[in-house]
Amino acid sequence: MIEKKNKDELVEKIVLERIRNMAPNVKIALGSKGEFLSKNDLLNEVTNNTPTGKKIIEIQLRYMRALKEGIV
Amino acid sequence: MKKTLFVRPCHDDVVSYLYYYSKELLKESDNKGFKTINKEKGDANKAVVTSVIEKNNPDFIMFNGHGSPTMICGHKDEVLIEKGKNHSLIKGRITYSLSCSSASKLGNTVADSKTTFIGYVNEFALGMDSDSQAVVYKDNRAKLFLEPSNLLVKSLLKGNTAKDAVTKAKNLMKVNISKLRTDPFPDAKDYLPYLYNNYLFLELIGNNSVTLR
Repeated sequence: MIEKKNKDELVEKIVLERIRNMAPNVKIALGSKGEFLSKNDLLNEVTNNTPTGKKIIEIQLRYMRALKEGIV
Repeated sequence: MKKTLFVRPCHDDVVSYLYYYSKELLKESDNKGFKTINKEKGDANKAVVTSVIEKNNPDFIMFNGHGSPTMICGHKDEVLIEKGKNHSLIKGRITYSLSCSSASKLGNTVADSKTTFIGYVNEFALGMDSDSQAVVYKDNRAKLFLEPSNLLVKSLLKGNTAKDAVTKAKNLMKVNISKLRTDPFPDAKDYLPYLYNNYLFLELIGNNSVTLR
């Protein structure tokens, strides 16, 4: 349980770091939000653990795994 | 004459992008000899869309808009098609839903040997370059996300099988992922996880050998 919590926290930290390093002109739309999310919006969604924030973490994690496995 | 229906709400920033990019598909459908029906903006509502489907029995429907695993929405997020309520409206035809998640439960409910549902089984993500927000057609980042979607529809209109149309769209997504990976501008890498997400979750359910010709 503690191990999973630590792993989740580590993943969140990595994702937050990736978002902090985003270029300022990038905006992303996701889910049923009718607006594009800026870097700050994405950071808030992840930090506040919202449903969108959780999706952002999943998307980033899947991509990092694909990178690691040489799929992309 | 075969018929196509395009449902194109335009009430928020995100669907406005889809609205703009799908404009060329109307022309393409018309040029290919289909009776092309366009229900856009306020007309992309449940009453109008239901009536058009019942009266015209279109062979192909493209929905732009927001969605969930069980529904596709239209103008101002009014539910147009919902699993367990009116999903039979899209039975016996090809549907492409450019919306989040609707291929998962709704798609699986309608898909059969006479019905094809193409859509996303998870979130559809769209990237944009805020430096070009005022001019949608100049947004080369959004183009990388929406061109594959348009290619899918163009491919169907051309007479390719549903399976081939989806394969072509996925191949273009792969090309665009490669383009972003080698793009020297600092923003390029930031779109990659989201475009890869669309590549992973675009799916075809039901009859995959159907064509519009």
